[in-house]
Amino acid sequence: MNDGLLLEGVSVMRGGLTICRDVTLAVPRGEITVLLGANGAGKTTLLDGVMGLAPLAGGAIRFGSRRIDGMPVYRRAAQGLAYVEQGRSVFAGLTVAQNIAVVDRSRAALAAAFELFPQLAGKRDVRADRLSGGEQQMLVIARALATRPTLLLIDELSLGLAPTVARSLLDVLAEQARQGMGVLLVEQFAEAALRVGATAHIMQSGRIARSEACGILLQDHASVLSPYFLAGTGADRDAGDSPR
Amino acid sequence: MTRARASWAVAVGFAAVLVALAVTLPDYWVFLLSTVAISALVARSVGLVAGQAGLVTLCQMSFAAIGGWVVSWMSLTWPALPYVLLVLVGGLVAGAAGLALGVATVRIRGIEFAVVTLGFAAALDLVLRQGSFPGVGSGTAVSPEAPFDEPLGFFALCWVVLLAVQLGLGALGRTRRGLAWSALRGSERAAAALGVRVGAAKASAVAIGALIAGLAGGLLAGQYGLLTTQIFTPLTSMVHLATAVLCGASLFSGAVLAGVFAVFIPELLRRIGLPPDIANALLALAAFDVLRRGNSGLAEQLRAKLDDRAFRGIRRSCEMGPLRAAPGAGAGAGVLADVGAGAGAAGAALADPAHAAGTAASTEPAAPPCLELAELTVAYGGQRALDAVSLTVRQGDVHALIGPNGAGKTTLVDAVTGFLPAYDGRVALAGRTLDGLSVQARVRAGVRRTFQQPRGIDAMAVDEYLRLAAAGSGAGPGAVDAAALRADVRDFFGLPGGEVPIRMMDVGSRRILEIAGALVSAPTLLLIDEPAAGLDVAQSIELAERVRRLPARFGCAVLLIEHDMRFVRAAANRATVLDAGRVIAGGATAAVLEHPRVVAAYLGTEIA
Amino acid sequence: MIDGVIAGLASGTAYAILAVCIVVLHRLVGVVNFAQAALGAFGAYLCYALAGAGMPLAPAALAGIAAAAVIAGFVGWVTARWFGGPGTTERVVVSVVLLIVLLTAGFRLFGDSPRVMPSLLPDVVFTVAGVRIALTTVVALALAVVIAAGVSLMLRHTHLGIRMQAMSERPVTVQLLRVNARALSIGAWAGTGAVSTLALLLVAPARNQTFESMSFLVIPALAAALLGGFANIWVAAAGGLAIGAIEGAAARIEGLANYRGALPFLLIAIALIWMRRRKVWDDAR
Repeated sequence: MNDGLLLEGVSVMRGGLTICRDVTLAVPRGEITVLLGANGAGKTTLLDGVMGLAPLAGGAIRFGSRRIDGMPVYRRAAQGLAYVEQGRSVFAGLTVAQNIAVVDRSRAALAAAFELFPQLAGKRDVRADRLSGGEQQMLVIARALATRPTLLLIDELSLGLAPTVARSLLDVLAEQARQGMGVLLVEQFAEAALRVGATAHIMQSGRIARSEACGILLQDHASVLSPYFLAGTGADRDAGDSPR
Repeated sequence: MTRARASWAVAVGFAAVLVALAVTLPDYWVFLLSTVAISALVARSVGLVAGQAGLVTLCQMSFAAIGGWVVSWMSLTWPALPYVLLVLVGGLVAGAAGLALGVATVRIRGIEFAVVTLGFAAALDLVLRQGSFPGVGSGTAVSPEAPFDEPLGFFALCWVVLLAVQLGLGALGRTRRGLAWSALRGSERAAAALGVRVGAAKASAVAIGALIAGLAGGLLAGQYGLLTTQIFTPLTSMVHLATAVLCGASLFSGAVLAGVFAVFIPELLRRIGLPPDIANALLALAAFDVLRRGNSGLAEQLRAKLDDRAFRGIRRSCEMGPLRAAPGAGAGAGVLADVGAGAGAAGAALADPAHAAGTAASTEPAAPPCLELAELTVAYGGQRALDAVSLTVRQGDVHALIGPNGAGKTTLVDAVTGFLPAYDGRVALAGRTLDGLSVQARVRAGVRRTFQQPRGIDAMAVDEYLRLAAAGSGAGPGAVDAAALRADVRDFFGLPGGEVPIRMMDVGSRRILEIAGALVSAPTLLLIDEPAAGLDVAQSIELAERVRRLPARFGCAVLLIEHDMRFVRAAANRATVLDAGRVIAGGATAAVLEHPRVVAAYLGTEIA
Repeated sequence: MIDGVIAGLASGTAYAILAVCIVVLHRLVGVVNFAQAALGAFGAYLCYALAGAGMPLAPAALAGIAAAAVIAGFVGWVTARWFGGPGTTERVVVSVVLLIVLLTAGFRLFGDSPRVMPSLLPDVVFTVAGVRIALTTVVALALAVVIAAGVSLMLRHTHLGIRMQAMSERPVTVQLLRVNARALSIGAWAGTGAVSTLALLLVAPARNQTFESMSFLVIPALAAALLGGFANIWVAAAGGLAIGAIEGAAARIEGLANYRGALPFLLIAIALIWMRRRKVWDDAR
């Protein structure tokens, strides 16, 4: 686990509020770690905190045994950490090839991207804002992978995508993981993520409420997960919270 | 009260020192002290327009030039008129020019507004250079009559004018118009949602700022006798802006400090043999340093420190605590939980009162509708943000609007509150159609919403904010005496004392204050956007309890956007679920949250 | 009248080039540089000071351009270290602070009397179809077009330009992709500083300028940049030329001549009021 990402007691702030509280989790290399939770649970804020886009209120972040929570954003990226933000952050005015070129203009980089996503090869000179949602998501992932990271943080991969498209992207990520990359996958929609993931953590109100192997959660996910998303009347929900 | 008393003490002390200096020092220094007052006037006008209302202005000295020009001209044409009158008229003419500029630029903001003011300053400078100020050609100086022709008399006049302006602004600051300026600085939408008429507020800030600068110009005419364009160049306007930012000239003390810097730093430089215009660069760099640290101006920093001391030990957060029965309140919907010990017990006890309320309500005749949406459709380009959404919020309901990210919830609230330019379908409030009405008209009709309040209202105290919020009053049912309502709201939410500056409150308490602000206007319909964000579990439960009781206690219906389902269960008796702009479920909260389609939408089971 | 327009075009090219610099800098670092002309003026005056001290004109000009680039680059370095989301007021005040400091320094170093400035190009005048055109005007015009075209092409086709475009669209994302945003900012400041100096060196001899009046050439440039919404390079360039032409034409009209400097303000105010008439709310949410 020495070369993965390690969060220890991390609290992240946004807009003056402490959104994530005391989060401890590990993202090992070579597998996909899934982070689930309802909207507003703090998942995006946590990723922003890891990357340096949101300030930390406490805790430590280690990447490959190095503490990175003091580093500016670009240096964290230089350590081998890549971040795919929510909402398909393509450079709209640039073409597909140019988007990749921002990172690495060599032919090899472009070829690698097209090998991963053959669908993009035919759209090489198309402006990024003319691509479909799925293609934009592919582009964003390809662009992040062009930085040759050792760990990839990815936020809400499947938002607004057709099911088959989302599934194929998840398969690509699974392949990358098999080749040794670590992935922290944040998802609102659980089932498909659980199929490719190794470990899942469920976030609720800024804390990790539960951690479980994906295989176990997958078996009965609707009833196991809906308390965290829809707060059913189970007693276990209240037992987990302590009044402050 | 202590803050006000302290200020009075300081003011009296300052005045005493000032008078003592003026009486004992030679004329040259009295002259300089008069200039301090005049510079302070200009600084105050910058502080008003840029500091309070957030409109960066680079032409205040040009308004001063207008004032000075008018005084020079009138003095030439009608030499018998009293000087003070001339100064006043000069100020009024400058104010009129400011009003014209403010009205013309009502849709121009931010950097564009700054560029327009700079262009105005340069243009006016050019026009003035073509001729000269009235009286210069014939060598006829503006000569104020006795006692103002004496240095001491003129000194007294300058400071009296400055004090009068400050008293005037202070009085204005307590009225709605004055408070509206602060709301403007953060966000025009949030100000409008409080019922502020944004265009009028902007134009009035520019006009009054111009008037104050015009008064300063008139005084300069009396001091110099013969004016030149050198006094009023765009550079001087810019230096005044930098100095005002450095000193925090939205406060009186900051304006005086700015005047002191503007006069005595060059004087000091002159005495040690350096060129006095270096003062401009020094002041500018000091302003940069203040900004770089993310601080506000010097006077504002001082006041913040004094406030910290004055309010130490005074509660500055909202403490709601367990809910007590309202004095003489009605039965309300469902059981009033007599909550004893901690929040955990409260959580369990409140596990499903909404459910109980739902079943109770279903056996009674339905309450009349408060908000009705019929086939509401909003399309941007080819995309439909809302697709034929119909929903009804009945009087007495707390109705939750839930759904995944991007489902259209905020768009719906924008449509109801009037922030969308156009939509199809019908929005009606208590039977009355709202379509086509402006934001302010809907606020007057009784629709209030919360926004994430930005920094603009930092300068206010709790009571001032409540007064501003109340003034856009709706015609909600049961709206009694405003002060009684305010007291009731304050008690209900456990707000901190009225004098507490909002700047000192934590963000969670500020959001609660925002809801309180919406309530003091006795609205018919209240739209609350994610109230639980960032609150901890105990606060969240307490707030949910209160939201649930809002219709009974304050007579308004509530539409609530929220992601925290625990909050929704505790607070709302009915819910509607949106997904991709369409309603996919609606009804009693508990039933909706167990609906298989809703579960699927949230868990994304469809994508597997 | 045509003569006036042509004469005005000479200044118009300076407005155009300055406007393009303002637009590029705004797109890249989000600051509207009120001191754009002042930076160029600094370089120009340094060149004149060196030439007056005996240096041949060409190296003096290069020295001036280099100095302006260094000063501007320094400003870029200072602001890049700090800017992390300040609001409009802060950005405007910083820009104003820069202008004040430059005006003060310029006044101290170069005084405030109008200076006779050596022209970079020989004082040749052509007569085409009865209209007199100075060589300087032609060259300046060509330079304006080359710069506008060059910047557009650079942004679209070079690697550096692509990174700059990416940065202007999404400054945060670009940092996540390991692009050195700070170096790009400094480079943009330095580049625009150098180009501004060149523009003013070409145009200055035609007008008797003081340091201060040269610095306030930024106002018509701002007006032109505003027309393009601080984003469109070609509109800014065309706007600058148009403003120059209108000023030149007005110089030939009896009553207007002395007031023609006020035209940019009037034009921009009217244009803005018209363009923004529908924008009911500001962008803050």
